[in-house]
Amino acid sequence: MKASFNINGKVHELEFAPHARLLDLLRDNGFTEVKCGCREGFCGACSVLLDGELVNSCMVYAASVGERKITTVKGIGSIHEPHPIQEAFVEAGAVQCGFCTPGMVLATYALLQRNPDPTDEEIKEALDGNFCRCTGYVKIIDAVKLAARKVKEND
Amino acid sequence: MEWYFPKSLEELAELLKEEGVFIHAGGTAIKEERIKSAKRVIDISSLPLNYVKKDGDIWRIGATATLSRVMDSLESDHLLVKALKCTATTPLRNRITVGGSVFLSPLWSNFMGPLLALDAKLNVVGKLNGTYSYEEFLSNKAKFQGCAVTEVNFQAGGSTCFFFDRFARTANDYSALTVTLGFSMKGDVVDEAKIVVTGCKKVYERLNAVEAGFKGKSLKAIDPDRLFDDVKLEFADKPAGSGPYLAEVARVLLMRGFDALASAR
Ligand SMILES: Cc1cc2nc3c(=O)[nH]c(=O)nc-3n(C[C@H](O)[C@H](O)[C@H](O)COP(=O)(O)OP(=O)(O)OC[C@H]3O[C@@H](n4cnc5c(N)ncnc54)[C@H](O)[C@@H]3O)c2cc1C
Ligand code: FES
Ligand code: FES
Repeated sequence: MKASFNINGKVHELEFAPHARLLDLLRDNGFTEVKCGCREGFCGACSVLLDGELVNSCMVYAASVGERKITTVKGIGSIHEPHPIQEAFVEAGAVQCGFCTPGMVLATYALLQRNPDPTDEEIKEALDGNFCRCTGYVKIIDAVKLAARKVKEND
Repeated sequence: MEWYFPKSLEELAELLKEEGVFIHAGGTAIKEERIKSAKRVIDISSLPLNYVKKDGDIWRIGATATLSRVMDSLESDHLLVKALKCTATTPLRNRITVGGSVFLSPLWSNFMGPLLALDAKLNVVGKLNGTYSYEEFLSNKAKFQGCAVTEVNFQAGGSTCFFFDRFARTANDYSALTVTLGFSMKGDVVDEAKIVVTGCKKVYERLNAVEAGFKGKSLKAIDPDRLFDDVKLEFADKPAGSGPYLAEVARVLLMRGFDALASAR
């Protein structure tokens, strides 16, 4: 199959199998910032935004994406121009091995779009699909709170 | 194998007449092998079924509404919202649809107990056309093969108070069992009780004898400790616990549910 995909604001014409998952389509075409963890919808390493909503790309068939906009972590900021959320994760020490970080950053982005001033409980709920095996989550919650402040200052 | 994206229910009904078709909604329960073996995959996301609306005193939920959408649209203390809050995770709830969850109605379903307690109805098109009770759907799933669920609807509000809880190993895990209680009150006494346990060997059980015992009684007059003594629930062994253990957990959740509803009155 061949179809157009809007990834991080650019249209890409890509070839894929009818049963391919969005995770594989992205990674096979160089978007390796999308990580592959469990492939079962549990860990959140493969998180992307579909029309602004957080989804597990391992649970999405590529053929079903259609014209929806796909955003990976590189779509919100780069190493040279990081998004305030990415800065907050670094400053709060919320990154150890970094495998969960793309998903955590995108989960935070989706949360702050809906709720710029989340409580601790709301942060935990919004990140409930993203596992981190290193940090113990405390620093991640700190990072989300710092990100909320930074995003507000930036606006 | 080809993917189809019907835009109207008429188009969907035509496609459903074909051999080897398979419906894709959120896709979270569909294995790659199933897609490979289908002649046509019908993706229903372009149908005008992504709605949650109150129509007089009926809540109508379109089949492609996601669990997140339902949680945002119903009252925050609605029984279904309580059940959905503990279903899977935020990114999965953004993808899982009501139609897919109802059609699948798996053993770990968080929908089943609440939808039975709410006397939910399903609108279907395809081989069958019309409105069917969810209970009828569950009692004869085979009859509905070749059909698409287009809407789930149930009465809004009313005088019923509800309790829902589930048991799973972790917050993100599939439910090992769920317990739903609903009491319609007339003044201080119970007019109608609905008590449903799911995840058991029979998939779900309505506790009809206990329900009947509630009728016409004040909740305060009932002794919760003896209430579920005669209930025999059977569970298979699961990763979350042995069959006898799960039966005991179900009994505890039933007692907790009764306590919560009685003390809320
Ligand atoms: C990690 C994880 C944990 C989960 N935990 C729970 C839990 O604890 N409790 C719970 O209730 N759910 C849970 N779920 C969700 C559940 O297991 C299913 O994945 C989900 O309900 C399927 O919905 P869907 O929209 O993705 O359907 P799909 O995967 O698209 O389809 C499921 C089935 O229904 C058919 N279908 C879909 N839509 C329709 C329709 N409108 N009409 C007719 N047929 C249709 C499909 O052909 C397919 O056979 C969990 C899922 C995951 C991945
Ligand atoms: S790889 Fe998708 S949720 Fe784990
Ligand atoms: S930093 Fe290693 S998994 Fe989160």
